[in-house]
Amino acid sequence: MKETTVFLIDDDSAMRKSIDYLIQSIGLRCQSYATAQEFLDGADPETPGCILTDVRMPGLSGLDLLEEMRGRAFLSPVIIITGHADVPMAVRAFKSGALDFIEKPFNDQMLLDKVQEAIELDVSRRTVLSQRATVMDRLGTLTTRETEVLERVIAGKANKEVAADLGLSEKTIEVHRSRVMKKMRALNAADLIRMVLEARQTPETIA
Amino acid sequence: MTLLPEQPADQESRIHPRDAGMGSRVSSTVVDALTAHIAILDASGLIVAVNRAWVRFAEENGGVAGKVGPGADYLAVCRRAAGVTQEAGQVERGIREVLAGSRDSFYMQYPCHSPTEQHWFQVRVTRCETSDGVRIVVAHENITEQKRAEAEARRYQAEMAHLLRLGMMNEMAGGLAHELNQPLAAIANFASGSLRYIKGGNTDPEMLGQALRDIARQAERAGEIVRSIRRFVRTSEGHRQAGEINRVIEEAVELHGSDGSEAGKIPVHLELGPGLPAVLMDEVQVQQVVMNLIRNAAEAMASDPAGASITIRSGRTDPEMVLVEVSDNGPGVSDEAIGRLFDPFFTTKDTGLGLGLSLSRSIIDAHGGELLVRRNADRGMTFVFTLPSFHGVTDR
Repeated sequence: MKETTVFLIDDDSAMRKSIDYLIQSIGLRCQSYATAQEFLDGADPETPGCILTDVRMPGLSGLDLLEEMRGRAFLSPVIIITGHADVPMAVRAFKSGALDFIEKPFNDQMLLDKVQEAIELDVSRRTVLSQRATVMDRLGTLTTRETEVLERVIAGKANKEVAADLGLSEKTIEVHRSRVMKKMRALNAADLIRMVLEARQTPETIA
Repeated sequence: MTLLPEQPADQESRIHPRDAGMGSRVSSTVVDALTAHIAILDASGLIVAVNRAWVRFAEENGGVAGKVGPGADYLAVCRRAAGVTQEAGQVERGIREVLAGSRDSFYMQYPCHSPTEQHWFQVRVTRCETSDGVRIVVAHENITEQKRAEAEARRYQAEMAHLLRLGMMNEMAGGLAHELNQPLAAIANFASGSLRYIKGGNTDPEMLGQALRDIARQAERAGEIVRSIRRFVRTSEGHRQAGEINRVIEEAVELHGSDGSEAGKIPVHLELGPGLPAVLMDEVQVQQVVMNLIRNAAEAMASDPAGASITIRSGRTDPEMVLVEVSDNGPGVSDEAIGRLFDPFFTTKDTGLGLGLSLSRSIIDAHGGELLVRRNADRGMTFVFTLPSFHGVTDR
């Protein structure tokens, strides 16, 4: 995975520079942008981390950015910085998927805590997603027969039942089953079942 | 207390043109129809005739000091009343002066309050020559309603101005909170970031020194915001007098050129209209507006000063309004920005708080004029403001 980064968007250059300075003081990488558009055009969605954005900005506002991001591949959690949070703004922000709000002026420790929480959340989300992708990739390598066997194993059937289901010998099922285990890199039957069920339960993206 | 008759006047002694010595030009019916209480005096101040309103008023204010109908000495009536209200003395003097011919007419307003109600009257004393000699027409009229309406209008106006200012202040306060938050939050971030670097063993003087400089600059920015608010609050308390707009413009241009900045070197052409009427204004404030418009224009062109120039024209739109235009030939502003130019804290500049045009507009508004902006046909922007001429103001 790439180095985690805080993406900072604020049109006020002093705010931008000072938050950048604060974030770097705890050893985090920070990349800052003066407008939401610059961020959308310049930032790499693959980079894990979080997005810290001001609300009031010329052009796309922080809330517009949230809505814009939903249609794109940006996964990172968004923390909104605002001078004064009112209820309609909060509702719109949370509906559009904001993780959190920070009101200016803010306590530096609180900001950094929220940023770190957001980064951890993003990293674990991305881990889950990449695990899912790995499992899905491996499932893709199974033959039709192997898939048929896998489905029955997951359903909790013994080899004998699977053999009866598919009209094959138990011996043949054992061969298919060991190939499935190898291709899926599962340690045992329990591991195989957990891995496949988890991957299937995970949505393709996490908002 | 009243100067008017306290006792009912005789029915027969009401005005008849001939009795009044005013000839057939005046019909008694017409005089009776008037709402003013009218008495006609002869050259010695004796009442010759009165109209119906006079009689009615006398009846309603039933007598205290003797009969004030035809035959009575009105000057004596006034003299007696002067012991109670000093205005009666002024009316007596006024009538004597008109009688003596040292003035053609006399007019005054006076209060006439009963214990329960406040009333206002006006009295108009007019001299006329008739075939029977000099006659004096004394007409008292109740103007309480008019006075009340005037007071009401004044109070309403003051309230409106107050509310307007309050609304503006509310808006300003919101903007101020936001604007002050920025430098304060930045200062806090630089300071706590520095502490964290130091705690982590990073004491690079270059980096920490830069953070301290940033802190100082943001503190200055906060101070400048506070100063601007002070200036804004002061704009309503100016001192106004009649002055020449062209002189104010010339001085503003001189001040602009003397600040030594790059923007100050951009030439300003004057096309000042001759013979403009005086303007009732706070010259310092209006000069601030002109300087602000010049500075905006100059700064808009400072990055590309070749061929840049500012033109200031003055003239009048109609006899009542003086007009000043400040044009530049710079790049102009975007359509998006043009609608927000006069919003407090809106700015297109890197430095500056976005209060100049907002302040300028409130100054011009307070003077009864208008400040507008338009795009030039060829290049750049023109800011236009109007101010009522001195006559325009006093006639209102």
